[in-house]
Amino acid sequence: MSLENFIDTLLNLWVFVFIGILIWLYFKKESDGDKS
Amino acid sequence: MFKSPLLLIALILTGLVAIWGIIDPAGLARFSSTLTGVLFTSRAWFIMLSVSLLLILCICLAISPYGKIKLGKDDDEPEFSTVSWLTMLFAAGMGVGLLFWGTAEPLSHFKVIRDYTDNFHAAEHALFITNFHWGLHAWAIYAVTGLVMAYFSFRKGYPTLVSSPIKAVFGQRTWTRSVGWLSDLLAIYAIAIGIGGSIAMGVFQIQSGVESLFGLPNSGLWLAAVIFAVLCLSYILPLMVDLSKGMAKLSNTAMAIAGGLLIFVLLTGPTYYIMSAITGSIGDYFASVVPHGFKTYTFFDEKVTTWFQSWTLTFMVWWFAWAPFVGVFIARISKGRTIREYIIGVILVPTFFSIFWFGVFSSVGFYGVLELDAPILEVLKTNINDTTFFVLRHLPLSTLSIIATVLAAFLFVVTSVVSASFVLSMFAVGGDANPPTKIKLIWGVILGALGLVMILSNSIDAVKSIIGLAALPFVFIVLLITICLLKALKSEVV
Repeated sequence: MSLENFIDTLLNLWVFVFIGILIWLYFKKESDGDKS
Repeated sequence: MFKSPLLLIALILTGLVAIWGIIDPAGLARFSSTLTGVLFTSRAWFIMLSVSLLLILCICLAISPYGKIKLGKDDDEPEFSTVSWLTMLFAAGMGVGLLFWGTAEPLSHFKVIRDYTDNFHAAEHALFITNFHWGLHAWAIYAVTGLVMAYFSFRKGYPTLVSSPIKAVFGQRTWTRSVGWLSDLLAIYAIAIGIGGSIAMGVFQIQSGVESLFGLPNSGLWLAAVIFAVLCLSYILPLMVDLSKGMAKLSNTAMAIAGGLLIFVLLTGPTYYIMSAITGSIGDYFASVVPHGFKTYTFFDEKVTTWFQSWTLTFMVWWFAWAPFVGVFIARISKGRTIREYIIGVILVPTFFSIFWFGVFSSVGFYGVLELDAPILEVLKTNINDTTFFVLRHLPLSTLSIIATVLAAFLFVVTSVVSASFVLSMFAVGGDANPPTKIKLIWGVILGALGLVMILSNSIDAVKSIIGLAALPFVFIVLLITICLLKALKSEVV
């Protein structure tokens, strides 16, 4: 794997993780959130 | 004054970029260009997907029952009449960019596209791409950012900060405080660099206008320095005294001059040609705007992918850089409107104006290239800043129209810097709607220094890559606060 490919994989991995976090946050139930 | 660590770190961060750029402008431009190249290659799909989803979200919200929700308490009424609301919206979002790119952008696309098709289809597609860059997608980014700000400020009563939705929805926790703090910092950074670019673009534009008026070809940096100094003096004064009403008048004057210029070019140029092009471009645009939002040119050659990165991706990321600034502004003027009214006003009306604007200025350029064989493409290559003036010089009353363009560019930049200094100071002091004058002045100076950096880079491409680098992280923040909005809307009874 070239350095370019490696960097590309890392950058996209971060995006996949971020999308995963967004989906999790959306469906997560807020028990003690500060909702006014 | 420096009790807020956010303010201090934001000032240090933007100050360091400014110092680096002043000491070694070429080095900063090279660094930004390399890094944005890598990031754009890897994340092109993500940026285009995000922007398209934001547009689809806007459409869904507008037609859903959530569209009835008011941005404010249920009995709040809009503060501004619909006409002045729409005028202010547009002046905030586009400003000097329209004057700069009116003819230059479509012709730049034309130069690339004509290598792949005949001149006539290339012109049509060049106009479509330009409309795509300045149309629904751009305004969807602004609309969603402003919508989140307005919803949490006016309906939920939180301070107008990028971090507010995160804390409002997920509560006061360690991670929400950290991510919220980082979001405010990234918003400040993106705004500062974005406005710095706008100052540079304005100075380049005014410089070309002055060169054209006084016959000073290739005046170099000295004229840019003089214009920059006059600009700085002009925006420092309004920062020292409360001129909010005066600034609104200046902004409206700039819009009125730009509108006058539009009508002037339409009437003195080849009117039938311009109107035909506009009519055609409306059809082309609405026929394929949504699918085009997902286009990433994966299977094309390097020339096309480079063009895609340096135009489409750069513009989309540029709108993200401006989103916290324009978002706060459009949120403030949209209190009391329903989500449906807000979205229709924010994404549709400016898009139609852009289609009209670019239709007029590009058609005059295309008429010159295709019908008169005028050397506009040469001007584009040697001095892109002069493209608009080249067109104006070939129309009647050119001295008057060039003075009007220079004046409008000047007013757009001054009003942008004054408003941005206000928003930056507000963010930096925790959302206080009346930030101290000292802090506004400091931001004024920092914005000026960033503008100077971009001017020293002496290249619009360098300006684009520096802004791209600053704005990329903000894409993630906009998506995060959008999730906050969607979660909050679930609890609304509609």
